[in-house]
Amino acid sequence: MFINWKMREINLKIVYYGPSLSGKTTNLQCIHSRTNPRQRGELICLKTRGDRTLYFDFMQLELGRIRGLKPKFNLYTVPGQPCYVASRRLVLQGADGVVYVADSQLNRLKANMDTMRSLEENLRALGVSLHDFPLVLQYNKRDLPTRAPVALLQMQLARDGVPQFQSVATEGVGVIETLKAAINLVVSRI
Amino acid sequence: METLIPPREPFIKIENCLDRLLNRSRALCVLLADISGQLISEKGNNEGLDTSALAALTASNMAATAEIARQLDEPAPFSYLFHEGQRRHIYISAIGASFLLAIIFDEMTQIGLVRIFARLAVNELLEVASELEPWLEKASAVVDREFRGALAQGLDEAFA
Ligand SMILES: Nc1nc2c(ncn2[C@@H]2O[C@H](COP(=O)(O)OP(=O)(O)O)[C@@H](O)[C@H]2O)c(=O)[nH]1
Ligand SMILES: [Mg+2]
Repeated sequence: MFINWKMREINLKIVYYGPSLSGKTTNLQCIHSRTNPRQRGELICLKTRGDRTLYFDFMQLELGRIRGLKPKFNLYTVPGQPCYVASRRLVLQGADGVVYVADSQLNRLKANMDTMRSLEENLRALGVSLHDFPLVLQYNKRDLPTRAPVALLQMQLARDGVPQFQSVATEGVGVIETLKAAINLVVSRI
Repeated sequence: METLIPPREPFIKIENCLDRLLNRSRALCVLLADISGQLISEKGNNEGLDTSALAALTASNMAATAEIARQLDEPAPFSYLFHEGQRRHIYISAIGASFLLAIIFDEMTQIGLVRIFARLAVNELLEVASELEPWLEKASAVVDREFRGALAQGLDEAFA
């Protein structure tokens, strides 16, 4: 959270976190395609040749002024591959909230849990406890036949009171709901 | 609804400092951002530049090279970065541990000049930044129930 008095803006940073290929970039692409071009910047993707996120994806979304201040949301994704610890950590710096994008597929259960643990560790390294940090869970790829039951994902990833959403990011299902919940949660915690 | 009046002093100082830097260095554009990538102020010709994205990218660039410095067993992160392009160049300098300054320039000036005036500006901004920091945190004064309600409504409208 960052109030820029000079430009009359209130800036929030929201990070999409999750195992590689869970659908983080797809979430941002969907948000980008569904917003008025006047209310958002370019979607910047720093990726390798194989289309995997290298550093992060970034886009900015803005709303009209509220009480003279313009809300701006800086949305980031982090690379999921375990080798990019340093870049995950730097993207988390200054984050106001996290959307955890889980991959619903049965064979990604372990990856989901490992990544949740890494989120906790990376936040701790920044002096923040995941426990009192604004977090929204998204169970993505609900369209796949290989999906695990939601109850199982909940048991492994959710803690009490965390907002949870089911999504099919490729079809835009659940994406906007997740984003709105994350923004409202962050703002309610201030 | 009530409109909040920002404190003027530190911002005037920052504006003046960036204006001076822009004029003396003959750069195209200067940006002040915090290390998490949020843009604080910009001066000069930003036509065709997505300055919010540039702030995010320069901040991560600084963070990535800080990691390089650590790998090289350097005692501190690099204090500046310079990327030389064919037409445009960017010089990025840390301002203490919390802020950074990015200067975009072309053949109208030279790196030597940019570096000298950047150093002067960084010293000035170091002082102002410490005055500014408490204000950046004054969010709770703004965000109350009314604000939250209006924000939620704005979001609904944006994705109607
Ligand atoms: N079937 C299905 N595929 C998805 C869904 N969301 C993303 N994908 C696909 O999963 C792959 C990885 O998505 P991407 O957004 O790049 O993952 P990231 O590594 O988390 O950024 C891509 O091929 C997407 O098209 C979904 O809800 N359902
Ligand atoms: Mg990605």
